[in-house]
Amino acid sequence: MPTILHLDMNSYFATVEQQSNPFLRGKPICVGGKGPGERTVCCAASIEAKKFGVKSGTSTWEARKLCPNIIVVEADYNKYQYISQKVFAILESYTPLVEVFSIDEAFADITYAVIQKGFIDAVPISMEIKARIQDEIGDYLKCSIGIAPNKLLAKLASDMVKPDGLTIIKNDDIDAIRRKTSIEDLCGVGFRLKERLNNIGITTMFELGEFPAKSLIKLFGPHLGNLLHNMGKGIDNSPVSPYYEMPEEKSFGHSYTLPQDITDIDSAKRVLLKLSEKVGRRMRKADFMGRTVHLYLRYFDRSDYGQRVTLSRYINDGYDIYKVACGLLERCGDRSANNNVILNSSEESLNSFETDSSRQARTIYSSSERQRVEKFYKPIRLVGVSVTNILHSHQISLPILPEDTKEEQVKNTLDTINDKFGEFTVFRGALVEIKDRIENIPDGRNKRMPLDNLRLEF
Amino acid sequence: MESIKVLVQFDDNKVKPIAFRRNGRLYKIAKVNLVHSFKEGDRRIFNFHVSDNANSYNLRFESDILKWFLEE
Repeated sequence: MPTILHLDMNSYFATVEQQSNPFLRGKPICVGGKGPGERTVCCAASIEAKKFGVKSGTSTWEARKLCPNIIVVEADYNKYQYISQKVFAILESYTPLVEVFSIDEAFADITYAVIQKGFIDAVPISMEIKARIQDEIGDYLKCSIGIAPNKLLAKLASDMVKPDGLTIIKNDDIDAIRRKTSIEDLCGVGFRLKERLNNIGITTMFELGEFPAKSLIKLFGPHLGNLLHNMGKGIDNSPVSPYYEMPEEKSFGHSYTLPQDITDIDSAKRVLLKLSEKVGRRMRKADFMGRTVHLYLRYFDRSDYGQRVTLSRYINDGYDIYKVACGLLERCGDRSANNNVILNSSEESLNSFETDSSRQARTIYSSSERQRVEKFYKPIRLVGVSVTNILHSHQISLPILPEDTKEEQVKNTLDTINDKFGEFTVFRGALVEIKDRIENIPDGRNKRMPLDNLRLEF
Repeated sequence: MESIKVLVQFDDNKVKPIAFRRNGRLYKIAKVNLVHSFKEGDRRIFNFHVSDNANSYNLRFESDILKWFLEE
């Protein structure tokens, strides 16, 4: 029987800030963006702030309303990434099978570690891990650990007691757990899926497991239907996949919640340019190129809107990505357009902002024109851009035209300068106004970062 | 960010700032709360989050030029 451990750092970003600065301990704090008076989202709230109803995703404006004394601390993602690497390195000292689930969560298959150490169960190892985190990294850092026969139940277990919990789910406990667990507590069941399940009378894990598998498959398709049925039974056969066994990237993307809602497309364009530059830089570092560009917007009322374009050529330059995404943004705000005109002229209008070599672009609409026109008037809250349909650069023919190779040389030179002196040492003039504000957007998924430079002790 | 002088104790593989001097005044460090490092370009930077009895400070050590700075 496998022994899977799930470790979840409690109120992670906020606790790291309280670890860094002892004068923040015991106080309601939240980690947000830069600038006083700017509306950003709380990435994390301290345990004290949570008592006032502040949680991850609450805007700092709402947080101040809920808790007038709240201290908003600027996020430092370098710090959080470094600390989480140290935490994961502690886990890796027990087993090589560590799967980083997010910046503050990881699964570890400790089946052999328990046997090797001669323990009856995983409790002593879990206690040791907790003690080492406090001893080797910081005494204020706390984590909740869940131990179970599979990942689904281990995650459920770690969520049961917070902060500083240690929960074990044994085979004999599973039935009782299923009866008292609501479906929204299961990892992978979001708000929309919960509503759909509620609509067919399913509110608990037990009810999900007892619901006929055939009906779930009919309603949700073969993949999700089977997955939901197994989840309801407490079955999860997915292995713990360490980072070196993870599949390659399928997309590169960044999103940013704006300090204030905007209706001004030019402001959105500047953010889009910065995000596109970051996406392009990451793609070049990873040696990838892609040809499908997605634009993603979230409005003030939290409704979403997305569009994508597939190009005939592969790109990885930030400005190329921007030009495509910018076209989608402009189309989103096209007041005068009507449905037929837009759909019929999609290629023509896209070509107007693309380079000559990408004149065969085509669009795929994700929502109706009616929604698009309606949403134009809504203030934008979040902007995101991503590139999919990617290939390694060496799989793609390199440009041979002099103007293209010149661009390539300039791009390589800028990359070399930024590699040496740091990101955005050299950047486009259009970004001057917003450089400081969104410089701190974390660079992608922490899970792929090698655990380097961890041998130093302090 | 201002350049400062820092008194450091080396203990086995551990580095521990003891005190720093700023504008002629000596600040004794009561506790090193957290240490982290990151890269700025090809430079490795170390940040020491320290505190005395009244305030917390962020001491930045730039390993390529071997200099200490006090961050705001």
